Amino acid sequence: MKLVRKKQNKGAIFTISSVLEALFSVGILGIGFWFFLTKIVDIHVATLTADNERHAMNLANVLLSYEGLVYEKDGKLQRGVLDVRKLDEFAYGGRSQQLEPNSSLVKDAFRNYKKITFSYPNSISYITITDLENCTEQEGCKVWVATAVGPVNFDENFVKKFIDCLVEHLELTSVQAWSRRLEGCAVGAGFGAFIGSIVPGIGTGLGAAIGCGIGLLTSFFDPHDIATCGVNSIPESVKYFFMSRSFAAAQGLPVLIRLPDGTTHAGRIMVGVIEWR
Amino acid sequence: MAMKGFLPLTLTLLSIIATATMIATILLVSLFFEYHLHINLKFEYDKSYSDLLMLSFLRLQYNSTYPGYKVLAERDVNGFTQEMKDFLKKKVELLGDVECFRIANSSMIIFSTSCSSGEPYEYTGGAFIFKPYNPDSLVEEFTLTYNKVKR
Repeated sequence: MKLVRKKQNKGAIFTISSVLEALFSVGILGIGFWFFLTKIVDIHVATLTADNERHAMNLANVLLSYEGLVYEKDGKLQRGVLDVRKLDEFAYGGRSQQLEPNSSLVKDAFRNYKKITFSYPNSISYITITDLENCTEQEGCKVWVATAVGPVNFDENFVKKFIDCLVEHLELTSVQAWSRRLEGCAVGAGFGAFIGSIVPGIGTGLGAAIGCGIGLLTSFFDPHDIATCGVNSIPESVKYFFMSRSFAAAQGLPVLIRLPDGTTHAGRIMVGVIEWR
Repeated sequence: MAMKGFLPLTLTLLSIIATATMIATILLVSLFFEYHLHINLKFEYDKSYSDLLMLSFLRLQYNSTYPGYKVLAERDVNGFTQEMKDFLKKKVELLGDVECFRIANSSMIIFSTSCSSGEPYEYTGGAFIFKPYNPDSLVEEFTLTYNKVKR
């Protein structure tokens, strides 16, 4: 009898241990999979961030040969030598101890920003040029600040995509859709009539008509379609935001600043690129 | 009977080793890739920085008629005074946030400043300049080697 019970329990014990082992295996596999996916995302973001940093360096180098900034002698542009007169025209000048985002110089620069025509698509770049030999202890160094806005990719404009999607989903023959619109018109008309009766000079009739129109417009599209179109039309270009933080944006590149009297000052150009992709 | 638990234990051990190896491999590959990206970027930045520092150094205006590259190119004819050296030292240190530097051509050191720890070696920028009045060659290659200030 005892032997029979033992034999009956044997399978049950084996099953519990198997379940525990299986759960443990699933857990290990799950952790491994999660770890793997996290690393893939990390690598993907690291690649895009590296591009962003590279763009900041390239833009800084392009600016150092830009005819709107660089000193020109005998019809030849002197790369890396910035002309103070051109700088004053190109960027907003001031003095600053430290270029912090909430400093008055940066705020003024953004209020009076100069838009330049070249930059990376879907990006905003902030450019600061510091004269390292024109500094005072109280006011800080002479700094020029400019903002460059690159061309925005209109093919991926989410408003256009959103409207196109809504138009595609527009149902003009469905009875259900028209009944929803009529409901919207009726609710709007009731609300409008109430407001029209309160506000002098509008009247119940006009209020109801305006309310019906608004109700009709708001119920013209299915809320589910609006939500779906909203999600689907978010462009690829705004799924990632990047801001260059090191190298050209933080440490900058050496430049010379040429004053009107012919002397040259040591300076530093810093370029940060904010991109959305 | 004594060996009954041996096989499951071995399998568990093997599974743990396999899982640990898998995780370590993923970690190492991703770290290597990220390091590779960073080191490439740093190389590009350092190269750009060094070349621009060299360019700015050569375009410095020593006085109204005498740019930096002429100070170097004509040093055998016009001399290379201590005043010129002090001017270049001050400007280069400010321009590049440089602790110490050395300017050399292909055969000799022309000018160097002292470091707190040994010789300048960290970064290098190069340029060819026109050298008049030189019977051997009208072009001279300059190399600027420098260490940045540690912050």
